[in-house]
Amino acid sequence: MSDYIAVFFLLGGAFFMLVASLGLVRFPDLYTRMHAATKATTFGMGGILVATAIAFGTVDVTMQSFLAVVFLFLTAPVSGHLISRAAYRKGPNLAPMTTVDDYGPHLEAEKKAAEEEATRKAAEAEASGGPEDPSPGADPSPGADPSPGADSGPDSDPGPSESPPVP
Amino acid sequence: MIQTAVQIALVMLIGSLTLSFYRLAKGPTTPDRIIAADNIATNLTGVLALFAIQTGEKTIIIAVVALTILSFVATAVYAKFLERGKIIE
Repeated sequence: MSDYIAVFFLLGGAFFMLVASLGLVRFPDLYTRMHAATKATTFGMGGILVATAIAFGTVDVTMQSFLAVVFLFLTAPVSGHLISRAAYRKGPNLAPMTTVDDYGPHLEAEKKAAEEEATRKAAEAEASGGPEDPSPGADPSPGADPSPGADSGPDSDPGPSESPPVP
Repeated sequence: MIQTAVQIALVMLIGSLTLSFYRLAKGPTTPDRIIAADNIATNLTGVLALFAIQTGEKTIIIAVVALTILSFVATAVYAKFLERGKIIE
């Protein structure tokens, strides 16, 4: 009887692994591929380890298989999240049929907030310790912004000619 | 009977490994290849577990546990390399 249960879990796990690799080949996108690989591989490996525990039937093998299953279930979502986050930040290669992208606007808002924080910090540093340490990046404060823009309108020649050598 | 099932499962895992190697060779971007490598590591761990069942060696299961943890560490290091460009700073 326990042989039948072990065979069921074994073939089920191997089938899930095969389906995971099929999804890895067939899906159009990195994120959908990762969905297939992470979810189904976890399931397939769990099935094979349960089959191992049932086939041996001893306490030590069962405990070790349980430990492996727990580690697999803990680490598979974490690694999937890490890879998808790194891949999206490097450049989101979404499939053309994608309809919902929630992380893009979130990432834009995050970037904007970081920029605002940087300018606010620079303005604070200029207000507190401006005479002691004049930093070049903190020059355009919000109040003084329009007047240099109006000034640089007539003599716009030095502005563009100066800016290319800086980078 | 379980020996026959182990052999059928081995054939299925070999097919899975073939498909993963195809994605590893073709994958358009680096993260695709990383996912394929992670899938290959998991499949090899499954092959090791099947080998343990077929030969009746209990000590191989410890290697399965160790390889599971090692493959997670490898994937995390790959992800960090993707995001920062260097691993140890």
